[in-house]
Amino acid sequence: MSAARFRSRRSAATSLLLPLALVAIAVLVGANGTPSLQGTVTLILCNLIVVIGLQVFVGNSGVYSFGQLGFATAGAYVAAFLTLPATFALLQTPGLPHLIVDAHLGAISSTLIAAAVSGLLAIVVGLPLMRTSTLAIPISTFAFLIVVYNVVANWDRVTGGNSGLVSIPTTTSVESAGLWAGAAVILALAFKWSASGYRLQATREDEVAARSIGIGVTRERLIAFGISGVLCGIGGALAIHQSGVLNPATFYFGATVTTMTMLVVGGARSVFGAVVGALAISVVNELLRSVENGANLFGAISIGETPGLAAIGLGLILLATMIAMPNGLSGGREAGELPWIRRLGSAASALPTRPDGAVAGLPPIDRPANGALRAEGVSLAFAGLQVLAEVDLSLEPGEALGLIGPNGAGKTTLVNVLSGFQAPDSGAVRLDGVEVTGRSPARLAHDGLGRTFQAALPFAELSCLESVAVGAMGMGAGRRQAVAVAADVLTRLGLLEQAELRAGSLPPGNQRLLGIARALAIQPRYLLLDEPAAGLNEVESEQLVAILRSALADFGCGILLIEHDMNIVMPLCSRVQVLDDGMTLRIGTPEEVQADPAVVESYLGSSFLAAADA
Amino acid sequence: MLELREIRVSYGQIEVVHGVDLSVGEGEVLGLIGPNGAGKSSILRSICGLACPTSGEVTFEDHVVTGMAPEQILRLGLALVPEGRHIFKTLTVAENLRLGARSDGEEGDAWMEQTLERFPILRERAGQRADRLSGGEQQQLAIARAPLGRPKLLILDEPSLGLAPKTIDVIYELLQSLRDEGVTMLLVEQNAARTIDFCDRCAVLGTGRIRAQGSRSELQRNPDVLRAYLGRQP
Repeated sequence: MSAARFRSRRSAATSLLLPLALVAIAVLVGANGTPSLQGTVTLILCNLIVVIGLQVFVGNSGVYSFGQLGFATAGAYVAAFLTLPATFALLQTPGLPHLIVDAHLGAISSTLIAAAVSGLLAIVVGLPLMRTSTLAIPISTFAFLIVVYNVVANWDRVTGGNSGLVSIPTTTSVESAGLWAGAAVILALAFKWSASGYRLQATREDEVAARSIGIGVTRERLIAFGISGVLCGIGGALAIHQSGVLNPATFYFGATVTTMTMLVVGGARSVFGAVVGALAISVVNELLRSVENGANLFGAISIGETPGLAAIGLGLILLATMIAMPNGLSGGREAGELPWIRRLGSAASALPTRPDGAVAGLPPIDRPANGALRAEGVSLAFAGLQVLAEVDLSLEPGEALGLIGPNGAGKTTLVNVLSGFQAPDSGAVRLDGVEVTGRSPARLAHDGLGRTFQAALPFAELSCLESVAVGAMGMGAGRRQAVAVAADVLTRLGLLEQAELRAGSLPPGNQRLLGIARALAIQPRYLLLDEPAAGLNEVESEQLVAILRSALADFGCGILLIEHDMNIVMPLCSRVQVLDDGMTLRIGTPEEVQADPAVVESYLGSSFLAAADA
Repeated sequence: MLELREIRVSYGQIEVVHGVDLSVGEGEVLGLIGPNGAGKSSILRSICGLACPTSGEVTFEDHVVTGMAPEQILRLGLALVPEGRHIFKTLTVAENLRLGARSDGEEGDAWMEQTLERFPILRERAGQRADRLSGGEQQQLAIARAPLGRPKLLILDEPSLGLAPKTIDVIYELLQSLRDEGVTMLLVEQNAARTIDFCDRCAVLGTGRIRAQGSRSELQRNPDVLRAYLGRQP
């Protein structure tokens, strides 16, 4: 079986090799240059590792953190403590335990321990911080940066305080920095393309949709925060082993702004962007600085000292990039995804040529006897407005239940209560007999509850295949299995041809189908669909009915269908429940409900009867 | 009033609208129908300045609007009710309408009163935050808000999306009364039968080209086109 993949081997290889080649070029330039150029390039490579560390968290989560340089500080001090010669240690850090002073580790082992400590620190700090909201994380991480600064600046007996540490062994060569930077590129790409990386990218694209497919936002962010901490720690440790000095301000505001600028200018969403941004800004910065100190251009024009030129120049570059290329120089793409690289030669398709080549066949869903999804006496009020009043509902596996009613009747709110997005004021939700009221949406997704939303909520920057596969990954599937499931679901929904396109580029109707595909990929026992046919025309609506029929038959899941188009509800559903003003108006077969005068009066309208008669 | 000549729209490498000519006369109600991905939204977006066509020209009342910013185009007297719920979520219903009315004077009050008359549900919810409304109510608010600016041309992108059958009747009654007042309309809808019935003229769009155009009876002379792009024959 030629399994489907997210990208061709060629594209993956390019994405990996091009940034590595850039690092190699930097190393070659440095190694053949003057000692001063060697030092500069080495520091640039150390910086690059920190920027890649930033990319791992910021790029994949879409959440800005201003605290990552705090981990570089931690890594740098740990590495310094472990390598300071004893005589200098006694003078500068008398408060340090003997065990650490006497360690005298080598370059590699001290860097590894620094990485471990800063990674651990990131996890400990991230545990509370990652629980804060998307908007609060930039502020809380910034506060962390300030805390780190104040600790190292004032803990004189251990850190040397504001005067800092000198005479740290300078063991980082341009070659070793290059090797570490190469490893950082590989680690960052491996993370981005791992199941965990995809889950995090899904939360970046749409947090609500990500939770609905079982992704724990806090957990995924914490993992990346930890990895980012490790990389920043390595960058910090290597940098001070190049310069030989360290003080509390080495990795503080200035470095935070510089590295963040590099990431944004390069394009935060891709590792390639991090590499391009770091190298490009560094080169420009060095050029501007040489001009700043006075220079002769072509031996003809002489420029005097222009202090501040580098800062102003970098500011203008950042501004121009943000305006002209909001996604950065790389456009947020990895090297293998660049349009001009894809055009080289025939783009080898990552998908099997025959659609049936990929259909893995989803495992049948285990159906507990007498299982059902039930709402029991659910009530909910918003600001005094009773939205749901003592509503009961029952959905069995293999059954399609229509939920209809006027706008504002409480249909979506009821689905929100069932799927954990909204806690009821009173009443209970039971899943196969177990009370699940108050469980998180992600937990309920793991319990077998899938849902879609009125808006399509696509993972716009992911491909269609990735968008659906991430649903299976949310359930803990590995990449290979997730891709097989996704290819299978996309085939059934007739979307396989679009598999490689960006989800955001699909027309609205197909984005809705993709939302259903994503929900099916978690292999739910109960599927709650909120107006899936909105925005579909009659042909597409008929296709949707066929798809939902096969979902009932093949997947065996129970379907709760909110829909205003009676041409979909009536042929598909065996029972229809009518909500009005937060109360159940009627439950019955489609025929019974359509004939009910109260339903016609409150919902269907007299023109519906007229049309039905005609 | 509105004239599109040889409009082409591309997203990156892919051209989605391949040279479309379209015109809406004063007081006319034109429907734009066709399957998903046919290019309906792209055409609307290029009329309103939200997308720039790769070639071709859009003129509105003798102004060439191609390349103008959306707010400039809207100031010429064109109003768009976008697909989806682009309402001001944290403002109240009344505040949303007020912003649509664009005037605080007696005239604004009169329009407001008239609108609340037409949308009883909005009167009921006038003091509530817009994001507390149900999806259908938000849609009604979005539709109610646009005519308050007294546009010459009202563009509606799927006004019945997500509405209960009975509410759709209410919306179409409102559109009919606007039409009686002489408002020119361009209507994009999924429900082909209803659109063909309502509009003076419809253009059937398929894969980026206009496949048929005309009144209900004229369209019915093209049963193949209708079947190919709209499914069941209206």
